[in-house]
Amino acid sequence: MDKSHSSFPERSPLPDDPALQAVVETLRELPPDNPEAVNHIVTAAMASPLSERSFGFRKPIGLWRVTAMLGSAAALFVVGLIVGQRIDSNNRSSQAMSSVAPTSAGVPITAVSARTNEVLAAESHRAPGGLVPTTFRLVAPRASHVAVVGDFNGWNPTANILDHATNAREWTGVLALPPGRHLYAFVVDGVVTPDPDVPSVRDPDYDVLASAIIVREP
Amino acid sequence: MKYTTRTTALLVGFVIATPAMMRAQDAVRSVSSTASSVEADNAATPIATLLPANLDAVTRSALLPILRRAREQGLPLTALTSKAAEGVLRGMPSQRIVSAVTALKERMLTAQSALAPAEATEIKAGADALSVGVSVATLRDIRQRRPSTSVWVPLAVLTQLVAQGVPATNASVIVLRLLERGASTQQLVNLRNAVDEDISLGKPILMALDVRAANVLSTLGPRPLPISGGEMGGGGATVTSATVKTH
Repeated sequence: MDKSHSSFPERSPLPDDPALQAVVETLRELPPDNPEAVNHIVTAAMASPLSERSFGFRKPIGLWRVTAMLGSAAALFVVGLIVGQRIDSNNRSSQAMSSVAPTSAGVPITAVSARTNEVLAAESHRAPGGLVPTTFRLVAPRASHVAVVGDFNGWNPTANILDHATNAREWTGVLALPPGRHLYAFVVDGVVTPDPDVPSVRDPDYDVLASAIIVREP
Repeated sequence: MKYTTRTTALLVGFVIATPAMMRAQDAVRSVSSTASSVEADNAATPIATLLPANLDAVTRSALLPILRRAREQGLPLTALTSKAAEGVLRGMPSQRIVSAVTALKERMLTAQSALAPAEATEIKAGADALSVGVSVATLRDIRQRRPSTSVWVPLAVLTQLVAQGVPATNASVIVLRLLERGASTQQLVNLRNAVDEDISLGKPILMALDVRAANVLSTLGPRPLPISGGEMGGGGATVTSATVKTH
């Protein structure tokens, strides 16, 4: 049972309520408008220039205030720029750190997936130059460095290193790819491996397995 | 006071947003860099600069004349240089890399002829199709059914089906039939995705393809009159999906 509710007596908002009647009587006893005072205020308002009237809005800002505001904004922008660059360079250096300590082969991959815009249509948008953002995912909890390589980046293992959050099992990366069928693979700690979550196809020229995706414009 | 608070809030928001804006710009830059690496192949670019930097001198000197000839023939060089780079990454010997690039160049030349007029994406897709065993005649038939639109999607779907285990003849018949009946590229891609799903559920790929193709065909318009020359490059034969045996 809610005691806070039961402690208040029920009060009726009817005129026979003495408290309410007292309030009503007090309000009725307010003095009538003073015509002289009203006239004085209106005259003063009409005499002032239109630009100085506020009518509920802010007063115009002086030139010195605009200059000060712009100066402050510029200074803060520079601060933000420096902070942004610091954040970015930190991210890049952490990636570089992970790439300098590759381990040997044998890193287990529990599940891998790569999906094009066909599957992730809701997440896709068209990038500049007709390129299509394409998400690559790899679950490799014990890997220290994962990259995706393919004909879209010249099979360059340093071009597209996948990211993963600390203690996360999944490595991800979004690449802007041109429409077409692309062969690709992951490089897990220096070992080229096809995507185990996608049916592998055999590259007839090198007689090796690779994975294939079809990237279409959304 | 209220005005000061508002201004301060605006400036603080601006400062917070700046790093995010910079990161967004970086993302756009990275997108552009991917594009440039893919589309760096144009007549003004020296061929030597397109080859991977870590390619040894012997392989490089063997590949340069092949690439020069390919450029003269109007073939997209990016696919060829990428093939060389793949060989380097996979630790292939020099001769193997040269052979692989040469073979790809020949396939692209064949595809270019069969699909003429063909754009770079079509040439690459045609070469991929040839690499898995699709016939030149099928490439010509696909072009015949799509004379004025890009055929890289049908070729890519066909290649993918064959690469996953469907006999090239069966896959070709079904793709040609779908094109003949006016299937859109989206329907072709959906077909491939659906077959992938069926395979992951344990269905035999041929059965999956036949069932899914029949479903798509049932949604399409009536069958048109036979095209002169017929499917599969001649003979006048008309084949329906029912002739593709499943097991």
